[in-house]
Amino acid sequence: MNTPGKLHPLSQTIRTLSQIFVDMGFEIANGPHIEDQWHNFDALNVPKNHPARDMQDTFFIKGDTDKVLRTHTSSVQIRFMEDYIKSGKKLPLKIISPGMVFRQEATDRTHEAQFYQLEGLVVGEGISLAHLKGTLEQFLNQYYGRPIEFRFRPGYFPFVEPGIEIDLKFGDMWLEVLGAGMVHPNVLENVGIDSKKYSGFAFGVGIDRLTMMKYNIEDIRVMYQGDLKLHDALYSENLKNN
Amino acid sequence: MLISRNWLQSHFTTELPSAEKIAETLMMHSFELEGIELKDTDAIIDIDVLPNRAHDCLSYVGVAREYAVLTGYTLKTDRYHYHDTITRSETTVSVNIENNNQCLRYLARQISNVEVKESPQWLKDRLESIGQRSINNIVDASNYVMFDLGNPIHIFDAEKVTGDITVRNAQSGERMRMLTGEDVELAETDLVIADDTGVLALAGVKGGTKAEVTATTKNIIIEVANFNPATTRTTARRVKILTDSSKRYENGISSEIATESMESISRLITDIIPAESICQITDTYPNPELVTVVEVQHDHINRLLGLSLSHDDVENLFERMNYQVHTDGQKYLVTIPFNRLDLKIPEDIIEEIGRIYGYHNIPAQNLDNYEFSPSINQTVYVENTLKDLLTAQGFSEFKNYTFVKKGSIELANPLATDKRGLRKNLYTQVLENLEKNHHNSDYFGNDRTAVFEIGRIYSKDGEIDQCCIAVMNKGKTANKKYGTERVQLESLNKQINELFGTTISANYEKNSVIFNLSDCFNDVSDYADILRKQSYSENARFHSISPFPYTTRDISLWAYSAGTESDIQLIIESADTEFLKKIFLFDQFEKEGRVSFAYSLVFQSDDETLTDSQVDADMQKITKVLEDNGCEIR
Repeated sequence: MNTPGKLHPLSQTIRTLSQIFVDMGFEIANGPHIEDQWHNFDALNVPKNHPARDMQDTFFIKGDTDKVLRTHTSSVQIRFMEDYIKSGKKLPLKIISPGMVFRQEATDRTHEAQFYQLEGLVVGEGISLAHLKGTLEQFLNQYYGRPIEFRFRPGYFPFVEPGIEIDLKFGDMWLEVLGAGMVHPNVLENVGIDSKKYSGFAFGVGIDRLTMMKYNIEDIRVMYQGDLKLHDALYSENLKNN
Repeated sequence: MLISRNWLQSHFTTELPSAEKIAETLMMHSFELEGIELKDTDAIIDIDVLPNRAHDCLSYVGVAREYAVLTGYTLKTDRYHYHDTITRSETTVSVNIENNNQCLRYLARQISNVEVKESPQWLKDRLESIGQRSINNIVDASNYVMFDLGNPIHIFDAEKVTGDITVRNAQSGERMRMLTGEDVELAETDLVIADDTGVLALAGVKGGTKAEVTATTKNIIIEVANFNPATTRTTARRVKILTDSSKRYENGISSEIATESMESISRLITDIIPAESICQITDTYPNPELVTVVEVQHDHINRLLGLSLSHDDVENLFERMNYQVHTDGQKYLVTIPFNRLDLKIPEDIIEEIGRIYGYHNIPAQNLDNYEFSPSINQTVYVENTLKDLLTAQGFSEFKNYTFVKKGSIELANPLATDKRGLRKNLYTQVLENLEKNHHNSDYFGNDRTAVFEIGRIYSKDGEIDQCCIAVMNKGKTANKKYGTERVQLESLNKQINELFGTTISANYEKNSVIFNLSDCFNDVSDYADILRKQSYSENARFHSISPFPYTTRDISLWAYSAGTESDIQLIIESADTEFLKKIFLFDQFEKEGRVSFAYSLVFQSDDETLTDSQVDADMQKITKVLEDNGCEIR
């Protein structure tokens, strides 16, 4: 009877990504947007007064110097691992944490103060960079519906060692799309996991960026205007109505 | 950091390949590549040195060492030479360090009877190639050696220094005039270089005018030092002066590179100036850096990288990297080169092995052997189940900004004063945008505007995920078709209760209903297919949204033959219109063998506001094509 309404395009991307990882046996984890500095920084091996903290411009909560708006969903991974170990559960664990994150930076066509990120984490005995490669290969092939060429380059994030940047190939162009690496032993120890016995990989990807790449959206700001013209402008042929 | 190919070449005995090739190798193994700029006789490679390599690679020598490891090319030694006629003097500079934690090493040396003038062309070219302005031979030499070797260097006019050089914390209320001309009040946390009468420089950040090198300077004192990264960072940020020097100190450099840097700057100055005599070096180095040895287990390397390297493979890689390694059974004792402050734990060494060996050589492996029983995330389940229910009934989803003018929770550093609060409800924005979109009903061809948002709100009590559903009818026909807004919202409320087997506590606010997602939890054990339903096809693309207003015109017509709605629409579309954007059928009936159709036509341009005559021209084309196809315009 009714013409169906439409999901926000970011919701559709989150669904697609979530389904792929659910099929691969991952759990979906959530956490608070307002975080303490332990979960957002310290536990993730980002020490105070370290240039690495400059990499992420942070919103601080007024009246509580310990509280920030999370700058990544890595904080969710810390909370998940803490609870997991405290409740005595056995490794391995495989989780993704999609969610909104915040950066205190001027907005432009490719930057918003709020955006969505999906991070993945696998911890177990003998987890290696090869597992990261295999997992991303499976994920990317599923997401794009075809084998997609990608490459690992050295990267730096304080919470991983080694740190990796991942480029995807579209035509002749390599685009930097994911950040990843092997979980830094300090991070594992911070949540009570024996880093001598266990290792893990983590990766992160911008959901807004994937969505923009998929539909050729050039300005991230159209996502958050509360304007249905966004939904209306997404269609497959040159239809005059839809 | 900008790398001139010519400058980099000066570090090698081997002829280097093209800038593109150098950049490709560095990007795949070491740094991020920002771009390459080709010039007449040089090429500039813009690399982004990752923070962990800022200790050693914010310098040509660091990048050259890295490139030598990757290619096996031979590095040149002895790149700096004294002028033939140099004389030496026994004079020394007296240096006192008051704070050993903040000044880690301080080398000073006087050079006498220099002539401050223009730099030689090669030196100007080098500095200008990386965007540095040439100032004079003394300043240029110190900049050159900093970029070349990574240790910032400061030069004072020796005649303007009274008594000893003291490295101390600033006194409260003390002031200094920067080389930039700015007068700055110092804090006790600042480290300064002072003489007996005042402050000469803000350590590691910026020099002062007191002992500035000018055209008339005859004797100079060269400072090659190492300062505490945190001190430099705090001061540089407090006085808001970020320099190439403070950047290097903030990231931390090894105190061990100071000797070579002092030797090199001295040689360069005597070579290009030339100076009459050079004096003894005063080296104050209270706590020399200790050599670090990191122990790495062989199987740890393979376990983390997912490789199966042999002992020989690993030893060969260590040799390429120029590390001193002692092999002891299954373990390697790696002596860390002093400039590699980033290498502290086994994983750091394993990363080195991975990068040099090449990440492309790592195989892909699946996680089949890792059994894990994931739980179902109730929020995800509820959220997506609601989305399916609502979209099926014609409701579309918003995502609005978290930042609003006023909230119970506010930010200490908002981007703007009207974005300092975190939203405390969803309905304010949803109702505002409901109305905004309702004004565009004609554009969407809607007889009602139906929207929802599922998102988070923030209060002193914490964060809550809520759902806000809102609807606005367009006139009485919509009331008849859907029921009043309130009736629709109450019906949804009932459906949600039935769907989740619960009673949500719903609040009605104007044209909206709001409830907490947690009201809907009922402990499901399967996502079923809630994540699979989609609104946009795989090949959907974004079509730009015009910022210009749209115009609508209605057209009614009789069709004689058994023309269907889509036939008529195709005929309209076939008209060679310029601005027709959308076509909506809003009425259709049959009478005496004829069918009447009424369409609403939306016109819009991406480039301008349309005039009546522009739309009229399109309407004439549409009328004509319809008449040509046997329709009668009513």
